[in-house]
Amino acid sequence: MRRILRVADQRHEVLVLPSREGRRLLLGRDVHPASLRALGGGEYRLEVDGMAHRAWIAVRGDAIHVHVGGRSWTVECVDELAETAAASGGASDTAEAPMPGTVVRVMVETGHAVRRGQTLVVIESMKMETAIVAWRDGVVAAVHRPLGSTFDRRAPLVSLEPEPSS
Amino acid sequence: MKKVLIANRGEIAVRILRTLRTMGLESVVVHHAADAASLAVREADEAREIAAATPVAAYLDVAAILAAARSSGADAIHPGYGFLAENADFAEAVERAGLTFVGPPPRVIRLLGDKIHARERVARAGFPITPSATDSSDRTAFLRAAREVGFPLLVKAAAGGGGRGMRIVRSPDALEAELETARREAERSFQDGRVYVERYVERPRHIEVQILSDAHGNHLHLGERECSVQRRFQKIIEEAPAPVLTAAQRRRLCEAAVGIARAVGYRNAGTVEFLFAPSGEFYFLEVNTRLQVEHPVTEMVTGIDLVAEQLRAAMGEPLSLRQEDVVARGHALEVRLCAEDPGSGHTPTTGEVALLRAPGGPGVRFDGGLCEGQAVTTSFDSMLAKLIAHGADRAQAIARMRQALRDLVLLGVAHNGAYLERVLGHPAFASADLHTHFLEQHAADLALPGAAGPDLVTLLAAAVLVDPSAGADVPEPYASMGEWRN
Repeated sequence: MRRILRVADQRHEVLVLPSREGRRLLLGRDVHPASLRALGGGEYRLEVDGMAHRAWIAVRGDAIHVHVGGRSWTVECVDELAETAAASGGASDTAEAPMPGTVVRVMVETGHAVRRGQTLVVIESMKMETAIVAWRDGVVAAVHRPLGSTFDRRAPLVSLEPEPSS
Repeated sequence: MKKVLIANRGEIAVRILRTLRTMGLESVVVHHAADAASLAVREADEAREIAAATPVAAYLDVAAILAAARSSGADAIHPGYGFLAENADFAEAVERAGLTFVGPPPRVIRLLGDKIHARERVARAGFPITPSATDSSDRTAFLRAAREVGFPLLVKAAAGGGGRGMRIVRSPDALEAELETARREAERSFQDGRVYVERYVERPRHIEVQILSDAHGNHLHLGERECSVQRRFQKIIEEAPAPVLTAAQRRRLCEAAVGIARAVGYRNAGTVEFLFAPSGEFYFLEVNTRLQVEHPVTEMVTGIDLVAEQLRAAMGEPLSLRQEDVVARGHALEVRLCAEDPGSGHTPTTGEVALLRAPGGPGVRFDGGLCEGQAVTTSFDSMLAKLIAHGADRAQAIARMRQALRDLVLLGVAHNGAYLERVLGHPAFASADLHTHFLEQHAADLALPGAAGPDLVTLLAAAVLVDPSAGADVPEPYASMGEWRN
């Protein structure tokens, strides 16, 4: 079966093939014999290409958290259907939060005309204020987060009315 | 003193609990509902929930904390660091309620908490401060005085400290706007919009001295710590002793710290922070009237339990040590593990602690307040835990810390563990060529490489094979290939 995985925004396709012992992974044009044995408590013995590793793995939703080789990673499982849908969508009219934080000032309301570069909202994260500015001229369609509310990374903050097609 | 209430959370609450237990004192923690399953709540003898609009508000609710102390029969309150730790009104309210505040007297907190007054007091006592200008109602005069200080300069909040509310201004054009922003931030963060500017020292080291004073006029120092590795004025790696001080410089710095403690009538544990210029000159920065996040490095080299000394001083006992009893052995490092993504500008991350395996071995200490299943949100500071390593010398401490960072398993929320390991492995860190912009200077070298080559294959193998169904439904033609070899 085919898996699409994302590591730090790099997309990888892996094909898993059965074998008599463990499995084989097809990555690009290379085949890698691999096996994984659970030792309990989230710990695993992993063998890849004849090399043994100690690994710790925790799966939460689409996120697979792995500690191997002295470093922690998060591998995202990508849903192929969702990926196709996202790719066919148009350019975004919404400013998303660059990081989790709190809304500390709201400078615009729905219906306001704004100029490119104008501050829409100010967020606070890591004891620092960051201004979210209009990325083009337009009219505010929605302010998604009220003053004082907290949000996670990629949460929509402010939307502009779609640009009229010329 | 029989029962101590801890008005804090996370790793520092757990740290204080450990000393209370060894001293045979009972413990109470207050907490917000968000922390009901936390390690501190589990480890305390008693826990009292405080209802509040936001999680942080619970730890700032003076009336509710005092009520919890009364109802639980606590006779002392330890504030930890952050939250109410440097709030003179809180310390005063604790004393008025007939309880012991584990920290300096309210008047000392008030004096040193006002960074403008503290600087004036220290300068009067004859200790060096950086050239500065203080905000006044005459804005034009202040602007003129600020320009005379010279650029680059730092704008700081009078009520700030610990790196909060600080801005660096490099050109006169930006000064007015930056002052306005700083005043607004200060007003919002500290309800005190007063700011001051001071000369910015290029390539400074941040070196601070741990002081300890009792109620009987005895003041001593427990040596210094260097905390030059910072990001946005927040310390990330701390160590003791400071690696490049000469014996004469160390003596001058530590004696200045004790002199300042004596000049202000200090009591309990505190930290006197200095800027150490490349020329060897040092300038007073501020006094933190509380236990520091980085106190463990001092504990590791001196063998002194700082929380125990705080409690003894608060009970009114004379210090159990004399200056000559304080001997630093070996070298200790601390790193702050934070919920942040080094790959995307160190922006904060959120998640759930899915798996936690703390490292061990000789000289390794893990100070954490984490447990598996715990949600990591942006409600609180991004610090998850601290790792401390002690060695016979600095090289051994670094080697132990790097191994401990590789051994630490903390899954479910992205953190800076691998980044810290990379910083410790940098040749300029090994040679102790440090200053407060170390991380910016070496940013290119310190950028974490992504997974590639055999490491990437290993990682992807772990990720796909953990799903036991993987490979069970293989599409044609691969299913027919059997033991196909390349």
